[in-house]
Amino acid sequence: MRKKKEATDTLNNAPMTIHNRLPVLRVERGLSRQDLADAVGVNYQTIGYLERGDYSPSLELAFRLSDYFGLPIEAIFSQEPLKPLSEELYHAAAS
Amino acid sequence: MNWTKRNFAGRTIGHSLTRLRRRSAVVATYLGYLAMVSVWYLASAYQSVGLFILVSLLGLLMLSGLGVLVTSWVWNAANAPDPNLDERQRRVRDRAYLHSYQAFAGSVTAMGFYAAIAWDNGWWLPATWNQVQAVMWGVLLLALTLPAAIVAWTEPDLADEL
Repeated sequence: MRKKKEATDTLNNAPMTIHNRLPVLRVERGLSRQDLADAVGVNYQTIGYLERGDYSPSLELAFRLSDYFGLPIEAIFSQEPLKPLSEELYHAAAS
Repeated sequence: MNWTKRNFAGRTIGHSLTRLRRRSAVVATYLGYLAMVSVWYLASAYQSVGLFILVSLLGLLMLSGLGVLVTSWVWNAANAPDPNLDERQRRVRDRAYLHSYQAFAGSVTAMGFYAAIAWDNGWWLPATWNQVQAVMWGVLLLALTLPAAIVAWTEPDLADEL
């Protein structure tokens, strides 16, 4: 009963913010927003909106970004704020 | 589709069209039309040359605002077909049409109620052909430009972020 209420509360709440690593991934590969936009078939302004979290991608666009970067979707997008990649890699190596 | 390079004069105008200028164009278009029609009504009543000149100036103001809406990237943002837009741009366009319909339907409904009440109470209603035309062209202006006006009003400034 409690889980159902939490799910309903989530559905009734405002749209969730999708956090992303697009700026980091783009800069790592030396790409401009226009380069990334051309690669995934959107306008460069849309890349800007995605990076700022002002727009949430469709599943199709998320998959295209995932394919382009060669990373799983959950490594690029998250419902929770993403930790720095360097921190995640350090802890992964330590464990 | 890179709107910032699309224009009719061969000049890149996208980045220079700030939201303030776009909103000014929207205000100039609609208020300019209202003011032009009102002053024209007065000019016809008083046969004043000065007022007719003012009508012309207000007409130019309206046309300048309308020109910005029609020739800039705003028009394509609001009216381009699906293949020319990515998913975010389509959402912007569809939201503009949704809000346009809501505003337009509300306005037409309000006008209809006003006409019904005005008829019974002897309030002003368009009586001459010129007055009917003024209302008709106003409705046409609204119907054709409202989605672009909404995009012009709401979209944030294009950033130099290539």
